[in-house]
Amino acid sequence: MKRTVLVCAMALFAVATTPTLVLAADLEHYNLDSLVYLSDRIVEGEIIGSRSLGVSVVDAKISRNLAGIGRPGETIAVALTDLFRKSIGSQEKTTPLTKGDRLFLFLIPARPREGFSVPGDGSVLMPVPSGLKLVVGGKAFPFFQRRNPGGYIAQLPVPGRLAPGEDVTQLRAAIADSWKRALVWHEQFKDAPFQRKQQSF
Amino acid sequence: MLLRERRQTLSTFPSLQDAIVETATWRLARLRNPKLMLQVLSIGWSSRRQYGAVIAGLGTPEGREVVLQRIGDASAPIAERRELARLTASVGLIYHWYAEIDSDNNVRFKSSIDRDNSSYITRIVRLSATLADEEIALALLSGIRSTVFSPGLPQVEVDLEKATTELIKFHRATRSARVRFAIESFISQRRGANDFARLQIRSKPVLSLATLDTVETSKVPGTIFVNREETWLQDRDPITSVVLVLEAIDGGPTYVVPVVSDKLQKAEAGRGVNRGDRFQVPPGIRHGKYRVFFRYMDGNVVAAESYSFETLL
Repeated sequence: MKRTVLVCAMALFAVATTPTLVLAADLEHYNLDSLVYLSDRIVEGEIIGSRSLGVSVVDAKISRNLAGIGRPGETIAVALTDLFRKSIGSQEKTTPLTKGDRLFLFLIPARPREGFSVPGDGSVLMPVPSGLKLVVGGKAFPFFQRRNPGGYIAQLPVPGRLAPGEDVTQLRAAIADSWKRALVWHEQFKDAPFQRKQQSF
Repeated sequence: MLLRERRQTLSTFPSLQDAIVETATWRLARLRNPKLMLQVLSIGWSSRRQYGAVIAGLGTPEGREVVLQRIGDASAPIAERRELARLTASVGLIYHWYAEIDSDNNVRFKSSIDRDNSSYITRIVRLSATLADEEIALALLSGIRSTVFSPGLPQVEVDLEKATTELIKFHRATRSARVRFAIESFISQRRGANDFARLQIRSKPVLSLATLDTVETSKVPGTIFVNREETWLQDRDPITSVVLVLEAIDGGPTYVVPVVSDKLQKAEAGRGVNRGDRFQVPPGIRHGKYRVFFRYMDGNVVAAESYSFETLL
C-alpha cells in the first residue's frame, strides 16, 4: 500500500512544488475505489483558515471521519490544496479553495522533500492525486484537470449548466464499501508477487 | 482475474485511472514473465501508469523476443499485433537492456555488452517486410526512428548498418507509398547521403507523402482533407509554390488547386513537417477516380511530387 501511495503522492508532489512543471503535467484522476485504496485517512471537513508551515497549508476542521484515524472537531493541516480550484460562473474563471469550503478529503501524510519543507512527523497531510471533492448543497463535486497547463478544477452547477455531483449520503456509503474492499487489496498486495498464485490476477 | 474484473467496472467518461489495476500490473511486471504481460495487454490498459508497467515488464531480451514473435504471429488478433508494434520502441531497441523495477516502481535500465545488438533492429525490419498489414509495418518502422536518441552506441550503429540494407530491399519490394516514404525519411535523416543514394530515387528537394483524411473529409461536403508529410532534403527557399493535383485515372482532365497556406511555411534541410489542409473540390469536376498528390514548383519547373493516393471525387 505505502509504495503505491508514495509513488502517486510523489507525482502529485512533483507538479505541486515546481510551478514550471504544473504548466506541463497531465494530472492523475482516480476512481473512487482508487482514492480510497490510496488514502490513509478519509474525512469530511470545512476549511477554517490557511497558514504557512514551510509550505502553504489549509486548516480543515473535521466534521465526519469516514476512514482511518480522526475524530469530528479535530483540525488537520492539509498541504497542496492550492492545486485545487473551483469554477465560478464560467469555465474560464476559477478561484482558490477558501474558508468555509466543505470537502471530502482523501489524505496521506505529507513527507518533506527538496523544495517541499513540511514537517517530517506526518502532522501535515496532503490529498492523494485528485483526492478532494467539493461539497455544495448536499452534492459532492469532483475535481478534474480541464486543460494542461492547469490544476484541478471543480466544476460547479450554475444556471444553465449542469455539473456531475454525487449525493453526499450515497458517497459516504460508497466510501465505506470501498474501504472494506481496499483492506482486502492491501492484504492481497502485501506479499511479494511470486508468493501468490498468478491466477489470482 | 482481478484485472478483468476491474476492467469491466472502469467508467468510460470521464476516463478515470484505477490504482488497484496499476498496482497489480506493476506486481506482475516484476515477475519478468513476458507472456503474462501480453495477457495484460490483451485485457486492455487503462492508464499511462499501467502502460508503463507493461513496458517495463517486457523490457528484457526475452520480452523483446516474445513481442517480435507475437507481432509476426498471423493467428494473433490484428489489434493486439498493432498495439505491440506501436510499443516496440518503448520496450527498447537496445536488445540487452534490462529494465529493473525498484520498490517504488521506478525503472532503470541495465545493459550488457553486445557487438551487434543481436541484430534486433535488423530483425524488426525483416519482420516488417514480411507482414501483410501496412499499419504494423509502419508502426515498426516508426519505432526504429527512436534510434535517433541513441546515436554513437557502437552496437546500435552496427545493427543499423545491416538494418539499412534490409530497409533498402524492403523499399524496392513494397508497393506501399507510406512504407516507401517512411523508409526514405528514415534513411535520409538517420543514415546520410551514401545510404540514401542506394535507394536510387530521383534527386529532389523534398520527400513528400499525401494521404486522405477520410474523417475530416466527410465533415464538409464538396471538400477533401489531405494530410501532407514532408522530409526536406534541401532548404525550401527555391520552392515558389505547392499545388494539389487531382489527376483523373482514366485520362480525363487534371485539376490543380493551389496550397494557399504554404506561403508562410519555412523548412530547412533535414526537417520533417506534417500538416493537413482542406481543399475545395473544383466545382463541376467530372465524377470519377482520381490520383491525388502534391507538386512542388520552382518557378515553372516541377521540383518534386509527393506520393499519391487514389480516391473517388
